[in-house]
Amino acid sequence: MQTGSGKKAQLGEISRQGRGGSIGAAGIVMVAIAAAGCGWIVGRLQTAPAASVAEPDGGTESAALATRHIATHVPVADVDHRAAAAIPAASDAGGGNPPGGLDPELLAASLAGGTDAQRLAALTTALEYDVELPAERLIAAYEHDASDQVRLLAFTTYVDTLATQVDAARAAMQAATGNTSDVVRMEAARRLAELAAYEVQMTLAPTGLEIKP
Amino acid sequence: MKRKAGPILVGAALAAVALSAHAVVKFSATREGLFTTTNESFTIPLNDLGATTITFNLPAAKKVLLTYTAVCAVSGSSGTQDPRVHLDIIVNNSTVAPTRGAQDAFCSGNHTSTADAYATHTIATAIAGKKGANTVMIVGGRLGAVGYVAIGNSALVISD
Repeated sequence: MQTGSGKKAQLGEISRQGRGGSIGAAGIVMVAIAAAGCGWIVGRLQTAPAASVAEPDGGTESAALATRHIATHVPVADVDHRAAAAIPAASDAGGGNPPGGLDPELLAASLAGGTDAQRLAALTTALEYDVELPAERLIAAYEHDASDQVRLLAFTTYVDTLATQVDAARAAMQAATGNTSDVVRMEAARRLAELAAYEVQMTLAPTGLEIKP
Repeated sequence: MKRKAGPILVGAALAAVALSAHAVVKFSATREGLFTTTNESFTIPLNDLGATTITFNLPAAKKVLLTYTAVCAVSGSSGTQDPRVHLDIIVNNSTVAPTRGAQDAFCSGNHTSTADAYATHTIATAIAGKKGANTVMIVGGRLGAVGYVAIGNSALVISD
Protein backbone atom coordinates (compact mmCIF):
# COMPACT_ATOMS: atom_id res chain seq x y z
CA MET A 1 0.00 0.00 0.00
CA GLN A 2 1.46 3.29 -0.98
CA THR A 3 1.31 6.29 1.23
CA GLY A 4 -0.96 9.14 0.35
CA SER A 5 1.05 12.32 0.14
CA GLY A 6 2.99 11.66 -3.04
CA LYS A 7 -0.02 10.28 -4.80
CA LYS A 8 -2.20 13.20 -3.82
CA ALA A 9 0.28 15.57 -5.33
CA GLN A 10 0.33 13.55 -8.49
CA LEU A 11 -3.44 13.39 -8.68
CA GLY A 12 -3.71 17.07 -7.89
CA GLU A 13 -1.54 17.76 -10.90
CA ILE A 14 -3.76 15.56 -13.03
CA SER A 15 -6.75 17.42 -11.69
CA ARG A 16 -5.42 20.75 -12.80
CA GLN A 17 -4.41 19.40 -16.17
CA GLY A 18 -7.89 17.99 -16.53
CA ARG A 19 -9.26 21.50 -16.33
CA GLY A 20 -6.92 22.70 -19.03
CA GLY A 21 -4.29 24.01 -16.64
CA SER A 22 -6.28 27.21 -16.33
CA ILE A 23 -5.96 27.55 -12.59
CA GLY A 24 -2.82 29.36 -11.54
CA ALA A 25 -1.04 28.78 -8.27
CA ALA A 26 -2.16 32.15 -6.95
CA GLY A 27 -5.49 32.20 -8.71
CA ILE A 28 -8.97 32.18 -7.30
CA VAL A 29 -11.71 29.82 -8.34
CA MET A 30 -15.41 30.12 -7.95
CA VAL A 31 -17.74 27.33 -7.04
CA ALA A 32 -21.27 28.22 -8.02
CA ILE A 33 -24.27 26.34 -6.83
CA ALA A 34 -27.54 27.28 -8.42
CA ALA A 35 -30.99 25.92 -7.85
CA ALA A 36 -32.84 25.83 -11.11
CA GLY A 37 -36.40 24.66 -11.42
CA CYS A 38 -36.88 21.32 -9.72
CA GLY A 39 -33.22 20.42 -10.04
CA TRP A 40 -29.93 21.91 -9.06
CA ILE A 41 -26.66 22.64 -10.68
CA VAL A 42 -23.11 22.33 -9.52
CA GLY A 43 -21.37 24.84 -11.67
CA ARG A 44 -18.04 24.44 -13.34
CA LEU A 45 -14.94 25.65 -11.62
CA GLN A 46 -13.93 28.92 -13.17
CA THR A 47 -10.99 31.21 -12.73
CA ALA A 48 -11.73 34.66 -11.42
CA PRO A 49 -9.52 37.71 -11.03
CA ALA A 50 -8.39 38.47 -7.52
CA ALA A 51 -10.00 41.90 -7.72
CA SER A 52 -13.43 40.33 -7.99
CA VAL A 53 -13.11 38.33 -4.83
CA ALA A 54 -16.01 38.81 -2.48
CA GLU A 55 -16.49 37.61 1.03
CA PRO A 56 -18.42 34.39 1.44
CA ASP A 57 -21.94 35.22 2.48
CA GLY A 58 -21.70 32.93 5.45
CA GLY A 59 -25.11 31.36 4.86
CA THR A 60 -25.84 27.69 5.19
CA GLU A 61 -25.82 25.49 2.12
CA SER A 62 -29.56 25.09 2.28
CA ALA A 63 -29.95 28.83 2.47
CA ALA A 64 -27.64 29.18 -0.49
CA LEU A 65 -29.82 26.84 -2.50
CA ALA A 66 -32.93 28.71 -1.45
CA THR A 67 -31.54 31.98 -2.74
CA ARG A 68 -31.19 30.30 -6.14
CA HIS A 69 -27.69 31.57 -6.89
CA ILE A 70 -24.77 31.94 -4.56
CA ALA A 71 -21.14 32.28 -5.51
CA THR A 72 -18.49 31.37 -2.98
CA HIS A 73 -14.87 32.24 -3.58
CA VAL A 74 -12.16 30.01 -2.19
CA PRO A 75 -8.40 29.87 -2.55
CA VAL A 76 -6.99 27.41 -5.07
CA ALA A 77 -5.54 25.20 -2.39
CA ASP A 78 -9.04 24.56 -1.08
CA VAL A 79 -10.72 24.01 -4.42
CA ASP A 80 -10.73 20.25 -4.46
CA HIS A 81 -11.79 20.11 -0.83
CA ARG A 82 -14.64 22.56 -1.29
CA ALA A 83 -15.78 21.03 -4.54
CA ALA A 84 -15.82 17.55 -3.11
CA ALA A 85 -17.62 18.79 -0.03
CA ALA A 86 -20.23 20.59 -2.10
CA ILE A 87 -21.24 17.56 -4.10
CA PRO A 88 -22.76 15.37 -1.41
CA ALA A 89 -24.42 18.39 0.18
CA ALA A 90 -25.98 19.33 -3.11
CA SER A 91 -27.01 15.73 -3.67
CA ASP A 92 -28.86 15.70 -0.37
CA ALA A 93 -30.54 18.96 -1.24
CA GLY A 94 -31.60 17.48 -4.54
CA GLY A 95 -33.53 14.71 -2.83
CA GLY A 96 -32.84 12.38 -5.72
CA ASN A 97 -33.89 14.74 -8.46
CA PRO A 98 -32.09 14.34 -11.77
CA PRO A 99 -28.86 16.32 -11.67
CA GLY A 100 -29.26 18.12 -14.95
CA GLY A 101 -26.23 20.31 -14.38
CA LEU A 102 -23.94 17.93 -12.55
CA ASP A 103 -20.54 18.48 -14.05
CA PRO A 104 -18.50 15.34 -14.87
CA GLU A 105 -15.29 17.36 -14.92
CA LEU A 106 -15.99 18.71 -11.47
CA LEU A 107 -16.73 15.26 -10.13
CA ALA A 108 -13.64 13.85 -11.80
CA ALA A 109 -11.55 16.65 -10.32
CA SER A 110 -13.07 16.02 -6.91
CA LEU A 111 -12.07 12.39 -7.17
CA ALA A 112 -8.48 13.54 -7.36
CA GLY A 113 -8.47 15.81 -4.30
CA GLY A 114 -9.76 16.27 -0.80
CA THR A 115 -10.02 13.87 2.06
CA ASP A 116 -10.65 10.17 1.72
CA ALA A 117 -14.31 10.74 2.55
CA GLN A 118 -14.64 13.54 0.01
CA ARG A 119 -13.07 11.53 -2.80
CA LEU A 120 -15.28 8.59 -1.93
CA ALA A 121 -18.29 10.94 -1.91
CA ALA A 122 -17.37 12.26 -5.34
CA LEU A 123 -17.17 8.75 -6.77
CA THR A 124 -20.36 7.66 -5.03
CA THR A 125 -22.20 10.73 -6.30
CA ALA A 126 -21.08 10.03 -9.83
CA LEU A 127 -22.42 6.50 -9.56
CA GLU A 128 -25.69 7.54 -7.98
CA TYR A 129 -26.38 10.18 -10.62
CA ASP A 130 -25.10 8.16 -13.57
CA VAL A 131 -22.30 10.58 -14.30
CA GLU A 132 -19.81 8.85 -16.52
CA LEU A 133 -16.29 9.42 -15.29
CA PRO A 134 -13.35 9.17 -17.67
CA ALA A 135 -11.80 5.71 -17.71
CA GLU A 136 -8.34 7.12 -17.09
CA ARG A 137 -9.63 8.82 -13.93
CA LEU A 138 -11.05 5.56 -12.61
CA ILE A 139 -7.84 3.72 -13.46
CA ALA A 140 -5.76 6.40 -11.74
CA ALA A 141 -8.00 6.13 -8.69
CA TYR A 142 -7.75 2.38 -8.28
CA GLU A 143 -4.06 2.35 -9.03
CA HIS A 144 -2.94 5.27 -6.90
CA ASP A 145 -5.58 6.53 -4.46
CA ALA A 146 -4.60 6.59 -0.80
CA SER A 147 -7.93 5.11 0.30
CA ASP A 148 -8.65 1.42 -0.08
CA GLN A 149 -12.37 2.21 -0.24
CA VAL A 150 -11.90 4.60 -3.14
CA ARG A 151 -9.61 2.17 -4.89
CA LEU A 152 -12.03 -0.72 -4.54
CA LEU A 153 -15.04 1.27 -5.73
CA ALA A 154 -13.10 2.74 -8.64
CA PHE A 155 -11.88 -0.72 -9.63
CA THR A 156 -15.28 -2.39 -9.50
CA THR A 157 -16.84 0.55 -11.32
CA TYR A 158 -14.25 0.38 -14.07
CA VAL A 159 -14.53 -3.37 -14.52
CA ASP A 160 -18.32 -3.15 -14.56
CA THR A 161 -18.11 -0.73 -17.47
CA LEU A 162 -16.28 -3.48 -19.35
CA ALA A 163 -18.92 -6.14 -18.67
CA THR A 164 -19.57 -6.64 -22.36
CA GLN A 165 -15.86 -6.56 -23.27
CA VAL A 166 -14.62 -9.74 -21.67
CA ASP A 167 -11.04 -9.58 -22.93
CA ALA A 168 -10.57 -5.99 -21.80
CA ALA A 169 -12.15 -6.76 -18.43
CA ARG A 170 -9.94 -9.81 -18.00
CA ALA A 171 -6.83 -7.75 -18.80
CA ALA A 172 -7.84 -5.09 -16.28
CA MET A 173 -8.49 -7.69 -13.61
CA GLN A 174 -5.22 -9.48 -14.30
CA ALA A 175 -3.32 -6.21 -14.09
CA ALA A 176 -5.08 -5.42 -10.82
CA THR A 177 -3.79 -8.62 -9.23
CA GLY A 178 -0.54 -6.67 -8.95
CA ASN A 179 -2.21 -3.65 -7.32
CA THR A 180 -0.58 -2.33 -4.17
CA SER A 181 -3.90 -2.45 -2.34
CA ASP A 182 -4.82 -5.74 -0.71
CA VAL A 183 -8.55 -5.19 -1.22
CA VAL A 184 -8.17 -4.48 -4.93
CA ARG A 185 -5.92 -7.51 -5.38
CA MET A 186 -8.43 -9.70 -3.57
CA GLU A 187 -11.39 -8.38 -5.55
CA ALA A 188 -9.50 -8.80 -8.82
CA ALA A 189 -8.65 -12.39 -7.90
CA ARG A 190 -12.23 -13.08 -6.87
CA ARG A 191 -13.60 -11.73 -10.13
CA LEU A 192 -11.04 -13.61 -12.21
CA ALA A 193 -12.00 -16.84 -10.44
CA GLU A 194 -15.69 -16.06 -11.01
CA LEU A 195 -15.03 -15.48 -14.70
CA ALA A 196 -12.98 -18.67 -15.02
CA ALA A 197 -15.70 -20.72 -13.33
CA TYR A 198 -18.33 -19.15 -15.56
CA GLU A 199 -16.34 -19.93 -18.69
CA VAL A 200 -15.94 -23.54 -17.60
CA GLN A 201 -19.64 -23.74 -16.84
CA MET A 202 -20.48 -22.39 -20.28
CA THR A 203 -18.47 -25.17 -21.91
CA LEU A 204 -20.54 -27.78 -20.09
CA ALA A 205 -23.73 -27.10 -22.02
CA PRO A 206 -24.76 -30.36 -23.68
CA THR A 207 -24.35 -30.34 -27.41
CA GLY A 208 -27.42 -30.17 -29.55
CA LEU A 209 -29.11 -27.66 -27.30
CA GLU A 210 -29.58 -25.15 -30.04
CA ILE A 211 -32.91 -23.50 -29.99
CA LYS A 212 -35.19 -25.33 -32.35
CA PRO A 213 -36.55 -23.31 -35.25
CA MET B 1 -70.08 25.94 -17.08
CA LYS B 2 -67.84 25.75 -14.05
CA ARG B 3 -68.88 22.17 -13.44
CA LYS B 4 -67.61 21.18 -16.85
CA ALA B 5 -64.26 22.84 -16.33
CA GLY B 6 -63.26 20.42 -13.57
CA PRO B 7 -63.13 17.23 -15.65
CA ILE B 8 -61.50 19.12 -18.48
CA LEU B 9 -58.76 20.41 -16.21
CA VAL B 10 -58.27 17.00 -14.65
CA GLY B 11 -58.08 15.47 -18.10
CA ALA B 12 -55.54 18.02 -19.19
CA ALA B 13 -53.51 17.41 -16.07
CA LEU B 14 -53.56 13.67 -16.60
CA ALA B 15 -52.58 14.17 -20.22
CA ALA B 16 -49.68 16.29 -19.08
CA VAL B 17 -48.63 13.62 -16.62
CA ALA B 18 -48.88 10.98 -19.32
CA LEU B 19 -46.80 13.05 -21.67
CA SER B 20 -44.12 13.76 -19.08
CA ALA B 21 -43.91 10.24 -17.65
CA HIS B 22 -40.97 8.30 -18.98
CA ALA B 23 -38.81 5.47 -17.82
CA VAL B 24 -35.16 6.13 -17.17
CA VAL B 25 -32.85 3.17 -17.27
CA LYS B 26 -30.70 3.24 -14.16
CA PHE B 27 -28.78 0.09 -14.86
CA SER B 28 -28.67 -2.79 -17.28
CA ALA B 29 -26.69 -5.99 -17.59
CA THR B 30 -26.84 -8.44 -20.43
CA ARG B 31 -25.45 -11.88 -20.94
CA GLU B 32 -25.17 -14.06 -24.01
CA GLY B 33 -24.77 -17.81 -24.18
CA LEU B 34 -26.42 -20.90 -22.82
CA PHE B 35 -25.86 -21.52 -19.12
CA THR B 36 -26.90 -25.02 -18.08
CA THR B 37 -26.97 -26.74 -14.74
CA THR B 38 -28.29 -29.87 -13.09
CA ASN B 39 -28.11 -28.39 -9.60
CA GLU B 40 -31.31 -28.12 -7.58
CA SER B 41 -30.40 -24.56 -6.64
CA PHE B 42 -28.09 -22.27 -8.56
CA THR B 43 -27.12 -18.63 -8.85
CA ILE B 44 -27.58 -17.23 -12.31
CA PRO B 45 -24.78 -15.34 -14.05
CA LEU B 46 -26.05 -11.90 -14.97
CA ASN B 47 -23.39 -10.55 -17.29
CA ASP B 48 -20.73 -11.80 -19.68
CA LEU B 49 -18.16 -11.80 -16.90
CA GLY B 50 -20.19 -14.40 -15.03
CA ALA B 51 -21.03 -12.03 -12.19
CA THR B 52 -23.83 -13.42 -10.05
CA THR B 53 -24.26 -10.27 -7.99
CA ILE B 54 -24.90 -6.95 -9.68
CA THR B 55 -24.72 -3.55 -8.04
CA PHE B 56 -26.67 -0.44 -9.01
CA ASN B 57 -26.69 2.93 -7.27
CA LEU B 58 -29.52 5.31 -6.47
CA PRO B 59 -29.33 8.96 -5.37
CA ALA B 60 -32.23 8.45 -2.97
CA ALA B 61 -34.41 5.67 -1.64
CA LYS B 62 -37.17 5.00 -4.11
CA LYS B 63 -39.15 2.31 -5.85
CA VAL B 64 -37.71 1.24 -9.15
CA LEU B 65 -38.75 -1.29 -11.73
CA LEU B 66 -36.67 -4.44 -12.01
CA THR B 67 -37.07 -6.48 -15.18
CA TYR B 68 -35.33 -9.75 -15.80
CA THR B 69 -35.71 -11.35 -19.20
CA ALA B 70 -34.09 -14.60 -20.25
CA VAL B 71 -34.38 -17.50 -22.59
CA CYS B 72 -35.29 -20.51 -20.47
CA ALA B 73 -35.95 -24.21 -20.92
CA VAL B 74 -35.89 -27.34 -18.75
CA SER B 75 -35.75 -31.03 -19.50
CA GLY B 76 -37.35 -33.90 -17.61
CA SER B 77 -39.37 -36.81 -18.86
CA SER B 78 -40.41 -38.60 -15.68
CA GLY B 79 -42.46 -37.72 -12.66
CA THR B 80 -45.95 -36.44 -12.19
CA GLN B 81 -45.08 -32.80 -11.78
CA ASP B 82 -44.25 -30.63 -14.72
CA PRO B 83 -40.51 -30.02 -14.72
CA ARG B 84 -40.00 -26.34 -14.09
CA VAL B 85 -37.63 -23.73 -12.82
CA HIS B 86 -38.46 -20.90 -10.47
CA LEU B 87 -36.40 -17.86 -9.70
CA ASP B 88 -35.86 -15.90 -6.50
CA ILE B 89 -34.81 -12.33 -7.15
CA ILE B 90 -32.82 -11.15 -4.15
CA VAL B 91 -32.38 -7.41 -3.72
CA ASN B 92 -30.24 -6.21 -0.86
CA ASN B 93 -30.31 -9.70 0.64
CA SER B 94 -34.12 -9.94 0.65
CA THR B 95 -36.16 -11.96 -1.81
CA VAL B 96 -38.67 -9.69 -3.47
CA ALA B 97 -42.32 -10.41 -4.22
CA PRO B 98 -43.64 -12.15 -6.23
CA THR B 99 -40.57 -14.33 -6.56
CA ARG B 100 -40.57 -15.70 -3.02
CA GLY B 101 -41.05 -19.44 -2.70
CA ALA B 102 -41.48 -21.93 -5.49
CA GLN B 103 -44.94 -21.10 -6.81
CA ASP B 104 -43.60 -18.82 -9.49
CA ALA B 105 -42.47 -20.98 -12.36
CA PHE B 106 -40.30 -19.00 -14.74
CA CYS B 107 -40.43 -21.71 -17.40
CA SER B 108 -41.45 -25.33 -17.61
CA GLY B 109 -40.77 -28.37 -19.74
CA ASN B 110 -43.01 -30.73 -21.61
CA HIS B 111 -41.88 -34.04 -20.14
CA THR B 112 -39.22 -34.73 -22.73
CA SER B 113 -35.64 -35.71 -22.01
CA THR B 114 -34.24 -32.66 -23.76
CA ALA B 115 -34.96 -29.03 -23.12
CA ASP B 116 -36.86 -28.25 -26.25
CA ALA B 117 -39.33 -25.59 -25.27
CA TYR B 118 -37.04 -22.62 -25.41
CA ALA B 119 -38.76 -19.29 -25.05
CA THR B 120 -37.99 -15.87 -23.70
CA HIS B 121 -39.65 -15.14 -20.37
CA THR B 122 -39.80 -12.00 -18.25
CA ILE B 123 -40.32 -11.06 -14.63
CA ALA B 124 -41.07 -7.42 -13.87
CA THR B 125 -41.57 -6.19 -10.35
CA ALA B 126 -41.29 -2.99 -8.36
CA ILE B 127 -38.54 -3.07 -5.78
CA ALA B 128 -37.67 -0.74 -2.95
CA GLY B 129 -34.24 0.63 -3.68
CA LYS B 130 -32.18 2.36 -1.05
CA LYS B 131 -29.90 5.34 -1.40
CA GLY B 132 -26.45 4.30 -2.50
CA ALA B 133 -25.40 0.83 -3.57
CA ASN B 134 -28.04 -1.85 -4.10
CA THR B 135 -27.32 -5.46 -4.95
CA VAL B 136 -29.26 -7.89 -7.09
CA MET B 137 -28.79 -11.64 -7.22
CA ILE B 138 -31.03 -14.22 -8.87
CA VAL B 139 -31.20 -17.74 -7.51
CA GLY B 140 -32.87 -20.43 -9.55
CA GLY B 141 -34.41 -23.64 -8.31
CA ARG B 142 -35.67 -26.64 -10.21
CA LEU B 143 -38.81 -28.56 -9.36
CA GLY B 144 -40.27 -31.79 -10.64
CA ALA B 145 -38.15 -34.40 -12.34
CA VAL B 146 -35.92 -31.92 -14.06
CA GLY B 147 -32.91 -33.22 -15.92
CA TYR B 148 -31.25 -29.91 -16.50
CA VAL B 149 -32.03 -26.24 -16.66
CA ALA B 150 -30.89 -24.03 -19.52
CA ILE B 151 -30.80 -20.26 -19.21
CA GLY B 152 -29.90 -18.46 -22.42
CA ASN B 153 -29.40 -14.84 -23.35
CA SER B 154 -30.64 -12.52 -20.66
CA ALA B 155 -31.10 -8.90 -19.68
CA LEU B 156 -31.48 -7.38 -16.23
CA VAL B 157 -32.78 -3.83 -16.35
CA ILE B 158 -33.41 -1.42 -13.50
CA SER B 159 -35.48 1.57 -14.51
CA ASP B 160 -36.79 4.58 -12.68
